[in-house]
Amino acid sequence: MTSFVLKKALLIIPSLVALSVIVFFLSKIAPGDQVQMFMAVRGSQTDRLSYHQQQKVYSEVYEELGLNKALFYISIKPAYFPDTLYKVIPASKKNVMKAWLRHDQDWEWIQLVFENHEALIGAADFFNDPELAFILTQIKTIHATADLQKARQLAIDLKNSTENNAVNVPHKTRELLSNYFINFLHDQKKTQRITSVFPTLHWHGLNNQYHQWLSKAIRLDFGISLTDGQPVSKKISMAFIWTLSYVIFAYLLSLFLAISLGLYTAYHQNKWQDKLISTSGFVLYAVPLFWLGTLAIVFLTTDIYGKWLHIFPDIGVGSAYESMIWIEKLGEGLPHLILPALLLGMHGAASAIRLVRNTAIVELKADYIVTARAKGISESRMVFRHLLPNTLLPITTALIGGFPGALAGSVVIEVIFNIPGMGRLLFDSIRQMDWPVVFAMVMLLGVFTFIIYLLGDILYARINPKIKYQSA
Amino acid sequence: MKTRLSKISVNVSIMILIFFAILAIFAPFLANDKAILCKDVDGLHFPVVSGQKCEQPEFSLQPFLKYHYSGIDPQNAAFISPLTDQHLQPGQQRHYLGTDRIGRDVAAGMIHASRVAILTGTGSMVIALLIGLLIGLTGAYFGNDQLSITRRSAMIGLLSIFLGTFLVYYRKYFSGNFSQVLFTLLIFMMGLVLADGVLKRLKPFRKRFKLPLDMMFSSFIEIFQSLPASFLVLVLVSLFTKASLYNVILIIGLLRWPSIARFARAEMLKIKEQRYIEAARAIGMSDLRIIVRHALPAVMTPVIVAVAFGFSSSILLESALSFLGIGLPADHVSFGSLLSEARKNYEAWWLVVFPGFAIFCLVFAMNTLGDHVSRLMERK
Repeated sequence: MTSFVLKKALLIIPSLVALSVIVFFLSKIAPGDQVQMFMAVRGSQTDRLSYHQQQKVYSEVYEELGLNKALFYISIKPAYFPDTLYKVIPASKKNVMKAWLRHDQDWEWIQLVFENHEALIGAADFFNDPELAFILTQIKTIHATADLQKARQLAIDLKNSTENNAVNVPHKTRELLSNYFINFLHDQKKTQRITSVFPTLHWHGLNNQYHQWLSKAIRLDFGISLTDGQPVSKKISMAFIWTLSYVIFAYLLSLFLAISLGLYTAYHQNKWQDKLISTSGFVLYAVPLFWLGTLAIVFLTTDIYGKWLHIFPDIGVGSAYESMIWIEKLGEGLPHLILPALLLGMHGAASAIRLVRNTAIVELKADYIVTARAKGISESRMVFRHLLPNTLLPITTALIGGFPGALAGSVVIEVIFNIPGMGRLLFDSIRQMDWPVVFAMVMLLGVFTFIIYLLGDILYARINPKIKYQSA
Repeated sequence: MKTRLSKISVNVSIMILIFFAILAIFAPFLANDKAILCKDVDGLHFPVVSGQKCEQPEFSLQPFLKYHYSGIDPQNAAFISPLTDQHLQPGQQRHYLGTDRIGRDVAAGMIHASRVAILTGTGSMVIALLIGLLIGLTGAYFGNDQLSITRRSAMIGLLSIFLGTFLVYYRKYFSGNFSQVLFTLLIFMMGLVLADGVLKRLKPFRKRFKLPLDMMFSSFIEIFQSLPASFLVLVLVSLFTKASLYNVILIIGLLRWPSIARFARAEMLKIKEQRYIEAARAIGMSDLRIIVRHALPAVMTPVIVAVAFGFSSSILLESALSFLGIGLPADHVSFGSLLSEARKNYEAWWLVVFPGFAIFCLVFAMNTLGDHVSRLMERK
């Protein structure tokens, strides 16, 4: 028994590691500029700053978020790829560099050109010359052009125009400018060795983004939300309380309905009771939850189709104020949660009834039931002492495993009923591209699912004598 | 349970599915603002197919509904009920099922939405079938001790997977120079052949070991099944920078295969012990041939059950996504997006009832058929 549990628990560890890696890399491909959103939420005003100062603020935030670190412990890249590309700030510059690298495979030249570019911009900020500023905007365009062919053409045009017009620029800057053009346009014919595309392995050490993210995530620190600056874990825990408060009720309701009705229909197999309940369960199973919810809202929570149908309170969670502590908020909101909980519970039961019924029908034909009946046991004792445990045993994991699903699958219900729970939070965060919240929720839900399944397995092992004997 | 009721419900389900399939296939010809066929001075035109319009047609064959699903009728904007007087110009068709907020015809939207729903179900189930059958059949067929390979081939296999992934991942960085790509490929191939030759000579690499394929695949199935699919679909779909129905289909297909794999695996475990498979093995048939020619047809019956339920659940998922407006383009019309219009105006009952009932019919029909097949199997 202990060894069984231990084995199951040990198997979870690699799954958790894999989960964290997958979630981390998914969070890295999410669209949108996190740095910009982070700056916006902190209220950094960058409109009035010069280009150079804007870049500086951006770089600071970028470094603060640790985005200039390597992604993972190791990386495998073609040999000509620099192993320090991740340090480049900002991301747009990095992308242009990557695109040029793709074309030329000459990292040293790219570095040189970009250094010259930075030096020019620094000098221009210093002199503040309008004519120079015009040239500089041109150069900035060049350095924002991912297509190297096009960028080269732009540079040639710019060089010709500056030479023809004999632009009046300060001496030092002119030197920088000519230097820049020489470096940019010099015809390098570096022969590429075939080994330059071979995969090479780089070791980046522990100071990488994944390590940083994971070590914080273990302490439940998922950073701050990019929409309102609150800690992610605080936002999630508040939403979790709301969701848990009605999902537990819904889940217990669906368990109760599924087990009682499942056994009832199995016992009365093929009689009218069975047909009625099974068919209505089957029908309910085919009804989309959001349709059911919308219908219930339209008919049961408004006066539009008659006052007598207005049974349940309005959607939302009532007048829960920010200043209330959570228990007060819950007290205010609970009446509004009755209808969603009922819908969710009934909908969840619709599929589970079939599972219980089919298992129970098989069990009813088993020898031990026949024997028990032959011994003259009362029918109720037969059902509760023999049929019930034996029916539940094979489907324990399935029934328990429904809980994380119920917790997560409440998105639609929470959106239409306007409940500030996990599903609603996920929905809002996705729409506002608040990725720290989204991926923290994915990670937590994944861990939660694994734990619930482990508990299910342990419970299964505890109540199943076969496993007890096997490991003993 | 062979009752009249179940017989009727199966027949009705088949009819519903055929009805929706016809709607899906001929959607542009059933509801369109262009004519199907028309004749003018230049000759015959097929505006629905070609897109060009007829000026002053001599005769024209109009579709059943003269509205396009994205066409806006400003006269009838702001939720016009199908039962009230509509602001129609002479010769204009009624909006049989009413309009939505910006004046799109709901009936035309419904016809297009059935196309979307059928496409979602079919597309995602094709993906799920490919993955599910591959994993379920091979895992069960080879079991934990049937597939033994040498360490050499395992090494070479892993190496080629690694090199292949590397090439695919960095494909952009080689594409500038075609000869380099070719040369790299050649070098990689040669390296693999060379490594193979060297490993062949080394004794420890000639040892064979058994690959516990069934254990690997069934834990894989278990993990995927435990994931809350609807939650994950929502997150994954939103990661694409460009919203599209095909992303949704792909993601649903990638998450809905475990039940197919489980059914296929369970059936394969039963079949494996049977005489005809044994006989096929005895006459020296290859494993691939046995799986494809002999096991696959027998496995299909239970797999159809899983596919039927998977089909309906992917339709439900897609409509939930479009109801929430996540991962799908803004101008996308499906049952879910029609239903979400009703949230803007609770009095628009036609936006609640018709699309919802259509989803219900499709899902119910699919589930009934799945249920019917599984009962037939039980009786056998």
